[in-house]
Amino acid sequence: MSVLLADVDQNDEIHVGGSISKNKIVSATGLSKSFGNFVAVKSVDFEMYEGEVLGLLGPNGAGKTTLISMLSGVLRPDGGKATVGGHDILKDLNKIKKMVSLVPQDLALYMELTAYDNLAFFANLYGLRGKLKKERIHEALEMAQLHKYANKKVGSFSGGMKRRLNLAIGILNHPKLMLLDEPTVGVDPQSRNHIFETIKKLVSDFNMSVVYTTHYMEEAETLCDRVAIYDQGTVLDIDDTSSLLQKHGHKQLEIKMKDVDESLIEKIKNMKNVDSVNYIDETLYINSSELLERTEEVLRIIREKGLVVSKFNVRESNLEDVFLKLTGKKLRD
Amino acid sequence: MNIWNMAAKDLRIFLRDIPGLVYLILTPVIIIAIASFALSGMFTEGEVEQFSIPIVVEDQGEVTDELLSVLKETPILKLIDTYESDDGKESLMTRKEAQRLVVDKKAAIIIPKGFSENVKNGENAELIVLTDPVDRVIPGVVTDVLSQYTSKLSMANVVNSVGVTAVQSIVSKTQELNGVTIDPTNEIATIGEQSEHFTANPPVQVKVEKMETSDKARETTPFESNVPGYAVMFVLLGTTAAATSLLEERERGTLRKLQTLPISRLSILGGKMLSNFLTALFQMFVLFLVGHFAFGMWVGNSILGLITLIVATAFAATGLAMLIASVCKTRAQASGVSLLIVLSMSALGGSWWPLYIVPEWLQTVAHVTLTAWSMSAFNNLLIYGEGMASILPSISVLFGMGVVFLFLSVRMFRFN
Ligand SMILES: Nc1ncnc2c1ncn2[C@@H]1O[C@H](COP(=O)(O)OP(=O)(O)OP(=O)(O)O)[C@@H](O)[C@H]1O
Ligand SMILES: [Mg+2]
Repeated sequence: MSVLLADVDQNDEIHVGGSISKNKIVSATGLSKSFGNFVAVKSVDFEMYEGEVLGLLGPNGAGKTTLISMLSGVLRPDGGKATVGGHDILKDLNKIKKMVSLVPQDLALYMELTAYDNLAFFANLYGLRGKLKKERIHEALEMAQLHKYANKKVGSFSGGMKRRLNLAIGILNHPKLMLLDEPTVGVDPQSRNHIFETIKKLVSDFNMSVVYTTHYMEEAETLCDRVAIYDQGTVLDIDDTSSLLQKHGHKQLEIKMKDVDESLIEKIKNMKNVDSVNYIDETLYINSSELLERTEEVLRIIREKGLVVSKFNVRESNLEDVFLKLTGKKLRD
Repeated sequence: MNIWNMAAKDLRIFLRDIPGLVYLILTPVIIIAIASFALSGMFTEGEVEQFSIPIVVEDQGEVTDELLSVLKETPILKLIDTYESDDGKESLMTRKEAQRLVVDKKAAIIIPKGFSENVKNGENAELIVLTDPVDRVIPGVVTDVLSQYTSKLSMANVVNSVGVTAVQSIVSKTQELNGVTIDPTNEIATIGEQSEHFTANPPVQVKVEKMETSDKARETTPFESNVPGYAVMFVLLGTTAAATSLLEERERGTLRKLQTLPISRLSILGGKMLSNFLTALFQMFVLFLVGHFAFGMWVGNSILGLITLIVATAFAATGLAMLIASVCKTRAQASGVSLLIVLSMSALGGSWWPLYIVPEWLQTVAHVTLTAWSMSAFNNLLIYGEGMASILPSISVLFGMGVVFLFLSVRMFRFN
């Protein structure tokens, strides 16, 4: 098994969705990391492809930061194997570091320096010189929409501006793989949209791949090609959003009305393929794998009883529900 | 190259930190000035400091008058023989007033009634010195001055009485044997003259000669010891504070980012060392330049030696600072530990006072500190005017310490 994996390199073609063929950018098997007795990452397996945006969706303390720290060379795994761009993370870290960039959760900025000086410092360490360096800095400032503030001290920036600069530093080396660790925390909706646009543009322009760590399921849904449901250091499932919803989600019927009694609830519960029925705050919540068929029956009984429906809704399930189903807990409290 | 990029970033941050710069340069300059001017009396000759001493004169007579004139000519003493009484009038000093003044003046002299008479008659004559036991200097000085005079008086008295007794005994025996009358008045007068002559010109004397220890006649000022002393202390304080920026980078998360860049961990630490070292060098050179040009500190006979020593000291200080930053977990911890280490090293190693005044065993112990090696070498250069050869052992030890400290810090620093 390990021999096979070691042989995999970025030229191995993997067929996804039938006709499109893509190169593998990350491949991990049994990746683990402990801090003392505490296991932060438990034998994680996953693969991702060039040009793909993979969401890593998990609550606080799930081990998201620990996992991407291993991929970026900050932490050495205790067990397992991984390659990035075909290079072994244990042996060829230097090659990996040139093609990967980590945008850390904690702002990696020097507050005493200007935005320009920060960018120039990191550009220097990426070995950029002269005209190319100037171009890249310019591009990063553009992306962060910070041109006007280039010569201002970062310490005087607002939280959102700092976040944007933090992200912009990550594109200086035109990475093949970007590891974004909750890059939108504390960013206003407008800036967040701008960041999303930028990420999408980088993906399409440079065929860049992104691991996007978040505990906002909306972000994972809108931005990511595939999402890994991740908790307690374990990938519970990894797939595109619609497949995840199909596999683990249920639509839910929500009917708002007064005077619902126990007998009605019992009646609905006893219908075929009904998973659960709850009456909370004058609203009846009904889960079923055959929701359309059941809806007709439910509405008929309500009409027979002469009850008045004040609101009616079929709610699509979301990743939050998938997460709840897979882990038994909510993404956020 | 990466090391330089890392260091340049730190230096850029450092240059923007104006209060930090002030602390680095201005504080030591102020402390050096205060310490040096406070001690200047102990070093500069010419204008000798005077002690004001109350004197109570209860006696009248020849000897007392002479004693008073001698004391008045003693440059270190300024006699206070009157005081202002409650009604605002100037009165002659009394015992009571003198006792009150001792608290302030640390010593007082009393010439009791009958002093002259007793000296003349060769009887027990006493002078009284009132002292405040708390002070260690002034009572000693006053007692010394008086003892010198009284021993001269005693000498004259003893010679006189021994001589006169001998002459009289010979005269009386000769008269008895020969039955003649002899008048010894002339001989006795001669003895008196001779004893007075020897009192004025004692046959045994201490003669103090000033040696010229260097080519140029030069007087040591407090600055030759205080500038290096405080420069070493403040460089240690400065570098240990600067090195904690390494911990700050870990706490803030920039260190995590740096580890994802295509640079080695050694160049991350190397950059920190380099910026620390350059900061330390800058601080030391500025302090020595200020010492020389503003305070007139002598730079010794070997400029090359001085520069080498400054470089060696800055290097060792950098090593120590990096080691402290590597061993400590948080910045607060590091500043506490630094302060403890730097202050004890400064006291022990001779930043504040010369090492030769402490007990010998402590001098030996002190050489575990880099301050002791550095300070003894600075003393060799700036106080004794010695050359490069005399400081080579210290320089080797300082560079050695620096290398060991840096090696340990690289081994012990935890990146995550
Ligand atoms: N250096 C460390 N030493 C000890 N424990 C650690 C260390 N780093 C992380 N952990 C622990 O590992 C677990 C996973 O941490 P990690 O930072 O990877 O979670 P996360 O998913 O990124 O959480 P968040 O959403 O809060 O950022 C946490 O319980 C954390 O306490
Ligand atoms: Mg995290």
